[in-house]
Amino acid sequence: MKTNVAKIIFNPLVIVIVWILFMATPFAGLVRHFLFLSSVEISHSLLGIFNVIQRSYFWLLMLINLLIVYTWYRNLSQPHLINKKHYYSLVFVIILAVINEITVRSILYLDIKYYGNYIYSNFGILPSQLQLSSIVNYLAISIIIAFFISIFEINNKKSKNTHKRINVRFNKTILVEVFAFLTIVYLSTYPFLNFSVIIKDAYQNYSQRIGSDYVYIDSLVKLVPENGVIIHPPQSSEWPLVGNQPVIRYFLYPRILVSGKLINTQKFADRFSSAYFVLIDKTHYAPGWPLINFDKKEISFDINNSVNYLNIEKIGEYLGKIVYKIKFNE
Amino acid sequence: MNKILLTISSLLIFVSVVVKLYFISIEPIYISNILGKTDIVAIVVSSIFLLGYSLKSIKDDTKSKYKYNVKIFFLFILTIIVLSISTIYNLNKKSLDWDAIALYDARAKFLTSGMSFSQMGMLSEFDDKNKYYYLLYPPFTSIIHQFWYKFNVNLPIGVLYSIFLILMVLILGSLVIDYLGLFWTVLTVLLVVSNKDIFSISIIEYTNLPFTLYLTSGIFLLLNGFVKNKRYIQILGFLFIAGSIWIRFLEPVWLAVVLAYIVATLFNKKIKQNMLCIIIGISIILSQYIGWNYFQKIVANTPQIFHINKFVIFESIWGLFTGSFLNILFFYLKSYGVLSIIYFTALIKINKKEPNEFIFLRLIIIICLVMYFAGIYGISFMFDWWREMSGSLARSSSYLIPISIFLIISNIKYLLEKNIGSAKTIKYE
Repeated sequence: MKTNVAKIIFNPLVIVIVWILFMATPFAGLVRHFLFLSSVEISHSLLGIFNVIQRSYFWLLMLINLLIVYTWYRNLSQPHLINKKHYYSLVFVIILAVINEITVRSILYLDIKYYGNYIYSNFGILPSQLQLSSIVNYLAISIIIAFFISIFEINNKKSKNTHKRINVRFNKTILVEVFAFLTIVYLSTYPFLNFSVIIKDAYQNYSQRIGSDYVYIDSLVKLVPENGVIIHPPQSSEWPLVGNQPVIRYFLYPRILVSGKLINTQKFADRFSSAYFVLIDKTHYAPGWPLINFDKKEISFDINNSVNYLNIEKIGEYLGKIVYKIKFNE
Repeated sequence: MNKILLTISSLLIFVSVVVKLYFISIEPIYISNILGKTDIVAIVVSSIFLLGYSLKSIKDDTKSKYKYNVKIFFLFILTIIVLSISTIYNLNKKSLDWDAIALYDARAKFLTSGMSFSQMGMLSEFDDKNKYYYLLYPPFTSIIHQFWYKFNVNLPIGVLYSIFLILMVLILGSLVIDYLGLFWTVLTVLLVVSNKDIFSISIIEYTNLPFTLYLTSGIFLLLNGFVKNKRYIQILGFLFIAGSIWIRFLEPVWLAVVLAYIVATLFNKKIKQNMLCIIIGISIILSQYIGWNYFQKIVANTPQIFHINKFVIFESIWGLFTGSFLNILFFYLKSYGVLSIIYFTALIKINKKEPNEFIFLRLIIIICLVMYFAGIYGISFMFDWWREMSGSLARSSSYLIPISIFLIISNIKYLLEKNIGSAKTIKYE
């Protein structure tokens, strides 16, 4: 039994077939997707089969694949089992893994280029499987390269007649080193593979980089004089940008900035004869700011406490955002 | 020391000294104190002395001992492409990134308007959350930004960071070539500059790239001086490490480097011959560390960020038995992601021919990884935002990437030489 299993595992054709099946598995989703969308009537059981292939066999084949490659690697102590066909099949697996890696990375790139879930919604391929497939590619390539390096070591040692058995611990070190090296190579493909995304990012202006809240800052820049005092919302998860004083100061300097959180007593408010603020709309995630009671002439900048004001005057509007001037005393 | 190394070292040390001189010109109170005087004397005198000595010891390398081939040319072209992508990006960049807006470039803007660093604390008078912010980081990047604007360089500030990346290529290449030979050096340099984390810090205007540049240069200079028993190279290395303190101050990486250096010296039984270097090196580093610390705490009156009390200490110890340790360890490894594979593999020594002094690099990796873990572990008991550190962890420790890549390439080269015998054996000087 053990010999039969060993024979199957060491059959060069087996590794190639299993590898091709593994590579093709994520694409079962592609077939299922197009069968589902086509006008031809397809039985549900056929679609189900493709679904099972895509979701279950992927894991099984991945494990078989790595098991076969690793078993070959561990059996270096019996180099008589390795012949030329084994070498060729391993080289073939490396070539397939490289092709698979290029394909996988190209497909994954579509999600970055267009939008998240683009691959699944347009092709029915699961991105998580492609990512895992990529890791398996690297692992398999590492194991095979480590295998070849070790084979060279065996030949060198045999020629010197110094050792007959191979030090397996050392071989594992080779595997770790090769895998780490390929990981470094993998991380180094970043600028090449993401070139267009990187360059596209360069053209972002502040409203794109900072987000929709940038318009509030822009309105203050346009409408408040440089010697003015500006009150902004408290720094919190509700107003992460317009409440962040160091960030908004970059655009508003040399204007004096006051966090609304500090204006919680009349005494503190009275330190400023007048100040400016931009009215922040109520959105789906944040309340409006500040809370104003025009009848009682009360205003709350910190949301919890109100202070009295003398008068509020609208000084202008920019891109739909209104900037007010507030007077606390004469 | 070869000409490229001397030129780039001189340039970087010159920049460091000019930044320091400019700083004291706008902060006269700093130089009026004995600590400030010690700092400036230490950095200026040691820089002049060392660069003069390096000039004297320069090798005539007009005739290259390295042979070029198609493989090297191909790798070289790829390196040029990476540098070009970074430069094209920065040339076309329309807006700066978050921390540059909030701090580094903002401070340059304040400096241009005539404000000094010690006055910047006043800007936060009406800010309830960021009282310490403007003096949390040392002045290097902001002063360099201000020079860029002052000299009317008609290019976006980001281009400066592409220049840092180019300097990284040149200095790293000239520092590792004696160990790896031309082919593996070009490959190492390519893998370093195109690495996702290194490349990413070349397209943001943060402290990370200059910090990595100064630290990497310092660490490899120390290694070179250590292996070749050249004291002036070792002290030059310490000078670079000292320079990094005025770029980033939060992580005491200088302490990790000094500790690793002392342990490696003890391990290699070179403590007697290196004692002078260690004393001079530590003195230069401490003059910089204490100088900025003094300015931050006393002159600029910056409040302390971390408040360690007995409850935090008790909770940290208690956490070792309640699962917090494992929870934070998983978070830590997850934050580093695949980089942890590279860092841990770099710790393995398989090259029997490598100089024993390489233990210095491995000790730096170990100490720094432990230091960052201890930092996150401690902070997790003080602040509820500790998980937000995940994104900046790899970025702030990016100086470990060149060290790790160098060690792994050195091992791979050894394996191929030993098992396949295609590469020539390099003799270490």
